Amino acid sequence: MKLEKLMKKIEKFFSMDLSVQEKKFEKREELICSLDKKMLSMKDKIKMSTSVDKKEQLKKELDVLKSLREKL
Amino acid sequence: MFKKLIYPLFLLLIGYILFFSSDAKIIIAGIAIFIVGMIFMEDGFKLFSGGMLEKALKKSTSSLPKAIASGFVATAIVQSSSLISVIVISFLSAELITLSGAIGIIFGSNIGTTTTAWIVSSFGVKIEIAQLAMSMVIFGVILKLHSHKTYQGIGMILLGLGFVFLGIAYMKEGFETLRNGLHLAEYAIEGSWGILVYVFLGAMATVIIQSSSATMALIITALATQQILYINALELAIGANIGTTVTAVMGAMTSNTNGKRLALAHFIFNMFTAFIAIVFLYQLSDFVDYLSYYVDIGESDYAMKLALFHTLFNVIGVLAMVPFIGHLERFLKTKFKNDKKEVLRAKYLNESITEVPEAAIIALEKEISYLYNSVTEILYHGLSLHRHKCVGIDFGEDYCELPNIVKNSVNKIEINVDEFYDRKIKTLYGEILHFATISQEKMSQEEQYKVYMLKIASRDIVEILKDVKELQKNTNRYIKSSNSDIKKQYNTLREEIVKTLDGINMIENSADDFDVYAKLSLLESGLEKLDMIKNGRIDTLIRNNKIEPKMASSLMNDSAFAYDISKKLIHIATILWIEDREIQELGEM
Repeated sequence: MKLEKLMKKIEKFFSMDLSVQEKKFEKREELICSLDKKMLSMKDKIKMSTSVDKKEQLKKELDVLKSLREKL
Repeated sequence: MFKKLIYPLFLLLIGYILFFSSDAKIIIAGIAIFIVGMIFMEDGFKLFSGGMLEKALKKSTSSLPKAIASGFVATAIVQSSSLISVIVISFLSAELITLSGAIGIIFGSNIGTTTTAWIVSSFGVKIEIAQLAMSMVIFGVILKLHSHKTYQGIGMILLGLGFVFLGIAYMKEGFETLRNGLHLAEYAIEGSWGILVYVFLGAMATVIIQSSSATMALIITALATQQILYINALELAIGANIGTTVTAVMGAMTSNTNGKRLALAHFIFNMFTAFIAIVFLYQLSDFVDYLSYYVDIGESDYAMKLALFHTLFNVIGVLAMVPFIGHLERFLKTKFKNDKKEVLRAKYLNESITEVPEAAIIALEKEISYLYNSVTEILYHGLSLHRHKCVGIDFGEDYCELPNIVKNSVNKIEINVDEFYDRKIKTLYGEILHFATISQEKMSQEEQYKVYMLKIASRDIVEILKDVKELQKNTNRYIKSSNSDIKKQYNTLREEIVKTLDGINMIENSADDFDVYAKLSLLESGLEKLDMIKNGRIDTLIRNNKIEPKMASSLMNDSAFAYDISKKLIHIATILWIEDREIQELGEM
């Protein structure tokens, strides 16, 4: 009887952990998706920009976001 | 030691009087019930008006007559000059009204407070007020239990009025019973000696009771029951006016500059008014007799005459002071200059907010941003720079104008960082930590983590001050040095910190976490310039004999402080302006 209870508790613990992990995974997917969108819009901005300095700055920022994408 | 004994001695004295004199017990109970009534009325009006009073007072100071009139009307309705004073001081502190406007309201309030004497003398001592008071208390309690705030407010006002009238009834009864055994009027003192004694007694009674309205009610009921002479009652009323300013001045001692200015204005006004009333006491008394005939007050109706006298000498005081309000304002501003050392207090934190975690986090973020702004101002000053010369200027991507601004800012800005921390930051920092800890109790794990990070941000802000203190010493020395190389290095340190501050300033209002992350990361990568060991700059300067060994050690230490400051600034910005926890964690480089 005690063993059964213990097993249930372990099961519950793992199932909870799993749902948290799932949520995290979903959130990360959303984050990557919005990061991709952001990077696309930045690429457009770089193309449209007429100022060399601004273009350079945006490129640097895009590089940072690319490395963030890799980390995620 | 003596101060500590006063209160218990006072309680013992009251206990003694209550035990040995049943008549005095009734009178003192009357005063207590009267004061309870005043408190209920004040709270009830606050609830009932729902901010209407504040709005009306805020809009009414465009001219002096308007300010005086609104002070009069508001106090006459609320029957509490202390409530009006509190509102006026808070408006003045928030700079919503001018000092002359605030003085106008206080003057008007002084006339408005005399309406209590009219209420007591016309209703309180003439009709069987206790019966009416009972009905008011009953209806007051019923309405107080209503769920709607307006009804609750009306209920409390009725309860307050009921208690005020009940208090008057008790005082009257007490004096009437006392008359059977002891006739106080037999001990009356006339002449100039009497003036001094009774003015002093009136002032002392108000200081002890802490309410001039209650003192006036006491004087009127004593007069109506012929326990005191009319002339002595006039003197007591003058004393009550003085006594009320003593309590206001005592209260203002721990107040801010505006509170002190207003308390002194009130004190000067009441002392001046009392002076006029004492000097012209007999003439004023004759004038009251003369006016009484026209306003239909009976020849022997001394209670009403006293009310008229009370209003009259306050109106005369206002009329006499109005031409000098400009002078008074200037005097008060010179007497109490805006104290730059005033302690910073939390602007957004309130313990009631801790009930709502989301609101608590927002309030905390705002408060920490406020702390950040205060500290960064000192950071600029510590570097002998003015924030207004560095913030909001479009430096462009290459910051080509910045070196000139920094190079030309060589004048030391006097700032004692330790004193600034003790007198300004310590309290605010303490309040932030207290609020954060209390609010964490009702939060989810995720919210608790957010608050934990905010605590770290505030700690970083405060630690920046320590670095500024260290950096300040040599910066002020070397930016004026004849050695152009060391001067250049210290200017570089200053420039790099300004670039970080400027970069953060630009992202402060950005709603896009990715944008903030990217910009902060770039700022972080630019910090290498400050790592003078890693980039080998110090080595080069030493090898080429450009700087002395002492200068080298200073530069080595100070570049580390500058690096630390910039790093902390970026860390703070990451916590404050990146919403997403995951991005925030990745941003903690």
